[in-house]
Amino acid sequence: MKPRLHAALAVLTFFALSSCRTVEFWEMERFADSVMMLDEDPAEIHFHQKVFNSMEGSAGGNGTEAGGGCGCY
Amino acid sequence: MLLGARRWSRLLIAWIAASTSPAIAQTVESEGPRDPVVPLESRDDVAGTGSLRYQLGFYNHGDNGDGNPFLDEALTVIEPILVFDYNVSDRFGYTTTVSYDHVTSASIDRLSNFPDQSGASGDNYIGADVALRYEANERLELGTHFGFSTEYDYSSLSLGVAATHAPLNTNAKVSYSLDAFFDTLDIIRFDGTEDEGSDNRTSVSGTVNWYQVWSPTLHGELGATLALQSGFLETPYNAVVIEDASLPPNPNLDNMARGREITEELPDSRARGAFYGRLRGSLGEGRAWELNGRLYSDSWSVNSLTLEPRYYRTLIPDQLDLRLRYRLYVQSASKYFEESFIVEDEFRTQDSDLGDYNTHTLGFKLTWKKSQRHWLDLAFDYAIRSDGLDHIFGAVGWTWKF
Repeated sequence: MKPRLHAALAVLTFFALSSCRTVEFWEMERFADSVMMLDEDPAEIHFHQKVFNSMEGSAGGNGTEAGGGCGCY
Repeated sequence: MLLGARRWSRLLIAWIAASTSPAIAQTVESEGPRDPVVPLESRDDVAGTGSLRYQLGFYNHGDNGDGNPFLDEALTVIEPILVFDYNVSDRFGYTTTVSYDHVTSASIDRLSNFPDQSGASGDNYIGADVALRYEANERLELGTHFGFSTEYDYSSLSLGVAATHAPLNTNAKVSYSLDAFFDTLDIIRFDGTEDEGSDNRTSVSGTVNWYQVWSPTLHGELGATLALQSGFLETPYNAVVIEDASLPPNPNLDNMARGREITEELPDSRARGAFYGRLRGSLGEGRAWELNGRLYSDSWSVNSLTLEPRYYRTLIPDQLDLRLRYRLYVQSASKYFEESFIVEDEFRTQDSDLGDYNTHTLGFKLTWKKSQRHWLDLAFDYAIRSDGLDHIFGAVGWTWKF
């Protein structure tokens, strides 16, 4: 478990340090490109969660999918 | 050297794995379409605007004797889903999601052989969820959602709250969410008996998600979820076969093995943790890459790693976008899983989804923007699972923005 904890701390530190340089608003033009949008379609997310819940023993540990579905087909 | 080369490589691998994906997806699922780039203040939540999305999903896997050898695990699911999102005012909006699943599975067929009931997990599922969001100020959004789903032997009530904060001058958004599910199950066993009545299951999960713009061409997110479940966590109709060479071939088993079936037994609690993240970078106008991943571990000793590189490309400017992806999923078996039992362990399962396997998935998605307000999309994935339970899934969708 310890190496995993260290890895998690390293990633968090990396993220924290990344925020030291502020990207200005006018530099964000590239993010308006449709291929750069991080948001995914909610219907697609819903469907994929169903698929993975029914096929993977570790599905459902993220966010709202801790339970709320038998998935036992 | 503060750290050895091996440790550095381990950290690097962990960091790549953390560049996950199921990511903000979950926390943003109920919040509707928005500009992910600039925190809160610049998105297009204008009173009277919204969107309507219809999607038809399809999922299938066959079973030619792989997976659990005693059980036919073939399954087909068809799922229409409707998502309506509306901004009542510039600050307040809601999203309504309604879905229906038509399930054809061997487990249902199998139980229909018994006279007492018609199905196991049911062949019809209906779910609905309403999510409300309120922008308290330019840097703070609050949300809540509640939902209900039901099928033949199962119903679930869900509640959740969320807050998203955009700290000043950080190019970041931090989201917190807390969700709870209250499920009720009718216990229908593998032989059709229902004398155990019904039972409950409660799940509570907390998630922290951190979105960050790293550079003018790179952004990503990182998050962690801790979920606690208690109550009846088995699949009621799952059986475990105690093999016994002295018995005659069992006609209820898919492979006619010599043995007797007993109920699956699993603990009444499960703690689950997931650490996820993803990175999206621009390769120039109309081209982008993504790497997402997830590390998961739980108290049943199921551990998994997911890595998913993606490539995005605009094929025809303002009209046609392509997404390609490869998904690697590696899972270790639960400590309660065995392929073969000869004695009755206190906790036991032969559910192949709790076994040791990996999956390689290849998929694409095409999005055709008919106009600024209408678009159609088509997605298809093919998954190869190491225990032979290969599957396909895909969806067609239509979105209208108004």
